[in-house]
Amino acid sequence: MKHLSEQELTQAYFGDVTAEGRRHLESCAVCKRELQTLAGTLDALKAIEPPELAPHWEEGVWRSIESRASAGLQRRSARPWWMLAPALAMVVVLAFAAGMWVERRSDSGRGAMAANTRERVLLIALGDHLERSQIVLAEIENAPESKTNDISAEQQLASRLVGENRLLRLTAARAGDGTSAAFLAQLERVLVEIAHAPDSVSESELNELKGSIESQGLLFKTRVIGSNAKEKGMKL
Amino acid sequence: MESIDEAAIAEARRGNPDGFRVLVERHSRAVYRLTYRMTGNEHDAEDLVQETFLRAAKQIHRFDGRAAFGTWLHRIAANCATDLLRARTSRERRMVKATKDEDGAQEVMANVAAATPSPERLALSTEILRLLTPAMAQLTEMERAVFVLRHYDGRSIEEICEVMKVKPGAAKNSIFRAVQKLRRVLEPALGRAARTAV
Ligand SMILES: [Zn+2]
Repeated sequence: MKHLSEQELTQAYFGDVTAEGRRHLESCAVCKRELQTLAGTLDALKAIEPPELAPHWEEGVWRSIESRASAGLQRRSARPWWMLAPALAMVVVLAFAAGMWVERRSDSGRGAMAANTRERVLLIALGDHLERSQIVLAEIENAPESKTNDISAEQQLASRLVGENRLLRLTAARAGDGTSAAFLAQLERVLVEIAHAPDSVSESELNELKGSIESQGLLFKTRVIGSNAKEKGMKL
Repeated sequence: MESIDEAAIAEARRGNPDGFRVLVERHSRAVYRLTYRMTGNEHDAEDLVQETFLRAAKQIHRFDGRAAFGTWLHRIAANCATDLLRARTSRERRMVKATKDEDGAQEVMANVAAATPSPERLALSTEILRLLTPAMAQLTEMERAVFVLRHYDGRSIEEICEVMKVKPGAAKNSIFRAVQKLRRVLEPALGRAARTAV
């Protein structure tokens, strides 16, 4: 009977074994022993666990590499990031989400951004997002009905807004703001509906979209919540 | 939360440090765990975390998104270990020699079939920790990266091929050679116990 090679045994350890190899392993004590030795060594390697890291440890990592990492990023980017306006709201939300995430691990507010600043940027981002969403909703709502209706421009905007909306919704939910999260979920469903509609919709399809917007008072809510958020953000 | 990674990567690529910071905050602990497993040393592991993210910042425009960001990052971490492991090897070698001299007095029990941790298993881990750096230093950059992704991260051969840009056969060979080299360094020290284990 031919024993398994070291390579076959290694592959067997990683779960890559032929039916024939498996049968052999079941019946051959020599190969079984070999596999146990190999597994013992590899399992021991995997069992190595580092000592516990301090809370906020990753902030220290960031602080020590911030300037060099930023220089590394800049080298390749053609344009400074603040010129890319459409992405700005996203960044702000991300920074906020990251802050939340770090903060949840500990009680002290040692995040780089003060809680106040973070709340302000989130509210402004939310206001900004809702303002653009409102434009899409209003365009659909006010579109004159004809046999075919080209809504491709609204669709493009809606699909960009869906991702942003999702991030804002998750951030709100994580921050414990259930009301905003629920409203954003409602808005997201309609934005997705618009984004997924055909470029050119029939009269009845258009009416269906209008129905979704109207039945939930979505346009009104978006306008009110959006301007409130922006106003509150500006005051902070 | 892959979508947060995606958005953060997009920002980092535009040169926005806030985007990159999100990536550091989300991934640095996992990278640390990995670099510690390659070096067995907290100080080296932390240095490697920094080096990994600095390289990642410079190379982020090359990340094509076909593999998970974590996989791509861990590959960089494995590559970063190369110089450091080589530099540390001579020091470690002296330590290994000292260990061998004590061997007669040390009874390292390696009950390889044991399923639960026991004092013997812990002794085995300590022994491996001592030999870890010289053992890892034997591997080529490719072998170490592929082994680390397969063994520690549990990545599939397909994903490894994607991130390493190699064929499955080459990946499997690298894993085998890595295992062979590691065993050659680690097992002699544990061999007597392993041979007597039932
Ligand atoms: Zn056999």
